[in-house]
Amino acid sequence: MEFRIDRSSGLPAYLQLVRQVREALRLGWLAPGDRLPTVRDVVATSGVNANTVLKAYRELELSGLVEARQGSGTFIKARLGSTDPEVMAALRTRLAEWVREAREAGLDIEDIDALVRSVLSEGEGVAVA
Amino acid sequence: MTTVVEPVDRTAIAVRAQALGKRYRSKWALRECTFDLPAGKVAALVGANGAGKTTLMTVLAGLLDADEGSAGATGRVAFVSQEKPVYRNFSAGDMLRLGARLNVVWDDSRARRWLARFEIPLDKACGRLSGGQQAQVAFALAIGSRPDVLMLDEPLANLDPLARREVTAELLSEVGETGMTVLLSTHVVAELAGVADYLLLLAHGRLLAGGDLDELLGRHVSYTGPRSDVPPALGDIVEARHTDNQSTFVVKLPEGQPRPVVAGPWTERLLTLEDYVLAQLEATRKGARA
Amino acid sequence: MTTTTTTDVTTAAPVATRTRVGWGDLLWLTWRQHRWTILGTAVVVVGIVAVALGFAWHADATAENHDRLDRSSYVDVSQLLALTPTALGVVIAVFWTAPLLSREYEQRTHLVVWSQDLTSIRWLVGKIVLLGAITVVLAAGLGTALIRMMNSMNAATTDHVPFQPFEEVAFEAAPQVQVGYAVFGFALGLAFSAITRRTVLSMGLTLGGFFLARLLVSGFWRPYFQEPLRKVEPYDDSALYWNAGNDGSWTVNSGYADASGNEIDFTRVCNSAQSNDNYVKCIADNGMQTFRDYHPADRLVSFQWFEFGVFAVLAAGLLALTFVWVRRARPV
Repeated sequence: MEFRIDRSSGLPAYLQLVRQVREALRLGWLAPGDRLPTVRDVVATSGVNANTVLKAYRELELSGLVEARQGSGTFIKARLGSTDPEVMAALRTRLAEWVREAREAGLDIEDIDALVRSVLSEGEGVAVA
Repeated sequence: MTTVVEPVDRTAIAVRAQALGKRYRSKWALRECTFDLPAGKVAALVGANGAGKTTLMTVLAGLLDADEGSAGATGRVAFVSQEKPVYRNFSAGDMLRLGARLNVVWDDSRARRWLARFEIPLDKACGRLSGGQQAQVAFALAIGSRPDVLMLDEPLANLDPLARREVTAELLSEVGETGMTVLLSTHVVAELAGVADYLLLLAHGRLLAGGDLDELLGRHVSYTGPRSDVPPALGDIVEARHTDNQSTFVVKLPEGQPRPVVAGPWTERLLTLEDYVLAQLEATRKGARA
Repeated sequence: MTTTTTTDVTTAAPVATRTRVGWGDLLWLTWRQHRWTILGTAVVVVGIVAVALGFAWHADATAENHDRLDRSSYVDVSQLLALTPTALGVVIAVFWTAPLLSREYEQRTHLVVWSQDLTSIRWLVGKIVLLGAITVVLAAGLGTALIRMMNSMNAATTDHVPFQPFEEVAFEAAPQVQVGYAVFGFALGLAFSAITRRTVLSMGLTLGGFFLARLLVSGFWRPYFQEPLRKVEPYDDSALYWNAGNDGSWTVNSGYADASGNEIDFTRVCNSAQSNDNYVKCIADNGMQTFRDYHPADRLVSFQWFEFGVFAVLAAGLLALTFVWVRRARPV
């Protein structure tokens, strides 16, 4: 995979890398056993500082998503923890109810969107993805 | 494989400045500059034109004596000045021979690889190369000398956008492979994200901020909300802007505490490096005016 | 992805390591940067030396049976050659050292060379020692050859001395004097180069400064390097007119003196004397004599060494100034 750094984003570069790996996992581009590009390759192709890549890989390792094998590289270890379907269904029901309440209160889609974004953005940078 | 590029010693200091001052006649170009740059970092020296970046670099590179305080770098230093000068009647090959002759450590293959990477002819007089090509010769010379600390004054100026990207990537590869410390000055902040991991911010010859980039940025938040005299979270106000019905604050959060959760009508935004630098510079300008 | 160079760069790559930058390296740099200037000057100097020695050899060989006309054209050419020592010092000053530092500053290359593993001072020492050594050799060689030529010419000429030893041309061609001028020019150019940082300005100032210093020393100081001897003689105009003196001494002042030897104005009391004899007698009766302040021929060599000393001391001062200047000046 190839990493991209959005230089206009406030998200630290290493977190951008972490997020891109998680996204690739979520979308199925990466699966357990796949090898991540070497730090050397990432540096050469994306123009990112080696320390940044190391920090991202370490972060991924800490969260249990990848593992570094001595001498051979960094490999995907686990799938992104998919949530329990029952929990998902429950969340969805409650959200639908909340949306209905919001509409009754006179909010249109844009209002709801803004509200959701502002709530989500509170956690940004702390809990990623 | 990923482990080999780990910097050898994370605690070592590569460049140290203590109460550094440099004066040109009665005007101070640099004043009370104190910082420790850890080894293995890629540090960006940022500031407006005339902020003292070049002066600081030349003092750190040992080309200029300080008037006050002390400065030092651990190990060998290579310095590439803004103009990327080369001897006009030397060929690129001659410049490499110069590097081999005038350095106690010389990695010829590394220097030649750099020139090959950017397709610089070895036998043509440097005076007949383009400005961009001359810059590559200057970089190759610095890379070949295998410095412990590489100082680059505006390395990307005068390079076309493609070359900027390639030079950055090559440079970072060299850093990764050799573990050298890099100090590069620039006034184009937007290109630094992911490249630099350490920031030294200069304004009017003084150091405004210095430290690990992610840490610095992580401790700053921008809040936008209804008109208010105080921000929604405790901390030092770096910047405050007000319109009739809206206020925007850049706040430096107290160290060692979790991020506060702000409630109500405030939206919170992470700062980009550019936001941070502009807010800091803006603050000094207001401070200077007050 | 292969694991080629990442494993351990320090042992995998052929990195040359040594303890310090040596003289050979400074020699290489100096030669690479100045080879055409050095070669150009050296070729001209060697050419002049060859011609001068050729003349000397020919004059020695044909001293007995030269024909007059042939010899006088010889003397003309040799007198032309004898002027070249005047030029060597100024060529070194203007074309070698006046651009030496300023060109580096102008093209910003001083930042390149001084940020390698050698200091600006060591770089400067290297340049001075290597270029200075060549300068000394060229100046000494040129001077030796020309003095050799002049001596042969003087020996081959019976009716007069074409090259009077104390005359400027011969005096200044002496190897030690030549070396003095050359090292002075060298140091002067270097100092202006360091201070102005502008090549053209530095060359102009060096040219002016060199000739000014030469003029002041040769015109105003050299006659008084040592107290001249004074010889007082009875007034005798035939002696004044005819006895120009080929004894190799150098007259620096002459005039009229009273009986006790004090300098006086020419007396007019004898203007009414009708005959030459009466005139001379009248002068003698009035106690007027002539005097001549001169340096005897045996002072020649010590004067030449003194002249060398003057310029060598100036050169040393200028070099010291250059070092201080380069050391403390801002490089940017």
